[in-house]
Amino acid sequence: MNTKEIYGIYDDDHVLLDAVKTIRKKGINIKEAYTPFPVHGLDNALGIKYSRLPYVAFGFGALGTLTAFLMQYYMLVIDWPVNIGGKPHFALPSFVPIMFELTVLFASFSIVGAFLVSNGLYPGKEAKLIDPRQTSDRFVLVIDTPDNQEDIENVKNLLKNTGAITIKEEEKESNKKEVAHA
Amino acid sequence: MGEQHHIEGNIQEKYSLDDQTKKYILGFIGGGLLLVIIGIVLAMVGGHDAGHGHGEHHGGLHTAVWLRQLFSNLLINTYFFAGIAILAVFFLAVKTVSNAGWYVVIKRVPEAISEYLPVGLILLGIVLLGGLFSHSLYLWSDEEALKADHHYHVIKEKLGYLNTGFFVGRMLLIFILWIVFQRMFMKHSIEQDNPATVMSSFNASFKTGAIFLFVFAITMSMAAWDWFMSIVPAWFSTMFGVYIFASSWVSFLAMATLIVLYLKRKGYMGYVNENHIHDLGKFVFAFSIFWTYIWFCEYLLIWYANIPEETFYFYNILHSPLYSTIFVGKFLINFILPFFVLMTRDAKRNMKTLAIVCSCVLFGHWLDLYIAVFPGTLTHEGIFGPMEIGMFLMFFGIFGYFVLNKLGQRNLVPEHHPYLEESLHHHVF
Repeated sequence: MNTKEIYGIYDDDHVLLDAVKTIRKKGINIKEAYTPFPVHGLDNALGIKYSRLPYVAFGFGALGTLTAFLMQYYMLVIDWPVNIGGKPHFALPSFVPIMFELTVLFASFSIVGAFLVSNGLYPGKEAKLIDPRQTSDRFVLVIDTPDNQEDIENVKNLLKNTGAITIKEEEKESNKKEVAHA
Repeated sequence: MGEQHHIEGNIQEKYSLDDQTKKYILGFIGGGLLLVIIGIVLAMVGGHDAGHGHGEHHGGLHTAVWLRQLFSNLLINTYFFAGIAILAVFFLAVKTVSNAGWYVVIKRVPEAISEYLPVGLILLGIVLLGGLFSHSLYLWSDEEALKADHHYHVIKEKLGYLNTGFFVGRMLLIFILWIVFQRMFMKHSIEQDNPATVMSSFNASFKTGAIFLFVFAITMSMAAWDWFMSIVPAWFSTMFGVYIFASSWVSFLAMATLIVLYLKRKGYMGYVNENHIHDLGKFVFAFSIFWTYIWFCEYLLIWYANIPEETFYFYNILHSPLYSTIFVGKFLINFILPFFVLMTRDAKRNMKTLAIVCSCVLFGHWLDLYIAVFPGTLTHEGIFGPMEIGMFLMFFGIFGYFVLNKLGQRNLVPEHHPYLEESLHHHVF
């Protein structure tokens, strides 16, 4: 098992986009790309699957609608029926605004939460900066180091040929910690 | 997707009305006309109004039922398509003022739709005047029927606004303003086909758009009060102007999407990709929700306050089997259907799904106008039969023929528009 990653650092988003296409055409898997701003078309070029966040939003939105309905039904019909303007206790039209609000609340909170969880972002997480300038004007591609030396040279050459200005190879983040503990 | 589209410089493409489409349009107009004639004969001959009605009087108009039905249908359909045309001008104004770029490749479609406006307004004007003078649309225009109505004491206070002279004056003002702005947008558009004047015209169109949006907000509300709310003159609702606007706006978006999809199906507009289609789908989706919001707001407030002079309007609708079916039906067609079907990204990018939803929504918003007109003009004698279907098909054919003809007169791409490049490379997630 390899424990290292190769980083190719680029200084232009167009060069990066072409590089990603060239590298993937060779059958080499790109694990991750770090860019200071969203690069148009990069998701497609990397072959990233379309986000499943909308399904989370729909599920929790529907849960919000149901919660609001049941809450109001319990409060206004079962637990404490009050005569409001001679309306029936179960007055559906007046339930609708709350149902709408809780749908929006649940859906929006759930996608923010799901986004943070699925990206492993939590309070106190240390930022992983491969290049200090990757939040400003550098673009980083991450590739798992292959097992044999020949392939490693291949990947490095490929990165260089596609316009990477720096190529680094380092221990993986997860392994670094294990090494430190040991 | 993903590949770079390099479409350089000039794209020359011209649409022409093919024989198959012509046949369909003729079929719509001919079949529609036939149904209308059947409907009129049925309404005149049928014992529908002979037996009961005039004895126990419910108030409302006294004119013969078939005439009221005919004018109600004419009003719905002339306004429906004229409304789509004025909302096309609104679309162009919004896109100009917001400096949008993505829509440029489909710009000819709203332009062609807006070209129907003068024709549509002339037809609408004839119908409004006809309805006014034959006393078959507006209760306030018929003194005798008005005095017999049990809402007379309320309506007589409104006669300072609702009288024939003022009504016709407002109508002409609205028509003239709308047509002037439509012509101005077309003038800008033609100037933008000339490389020499494109930039000056592009900058000037911003001002036209901004002024139009202001004028439109007022005239559209006025149009809604005059032509639709005053059908039930005792009733009032502050949401009504927005409601009619929302209805026509979704109708326009659905119609524009359908025409774009039709053109693509016929092999035109190869440069309109699924990203543009996706955006049109989002428009239909979002404003279907907006329409529902307005529709429910109007209903909720009146239901909640429960003031008799407001509530009777919905009471009459919900206590008629026909009207209540349509009232609930249009909620299903205009909200539930687009909301659940167009929710996913793939559905908005699928031309077939989008075409089916847009057709349904278009019909659903026609039903909006049915509910705005029929419960007022025909009250308990409401009917939904061959005349209603036929009239819609007939006007749909006329509108379609006119718009497609206009579409064929100019290059399908505004080739010198400053945002053409941006639009050709439009990409959304």
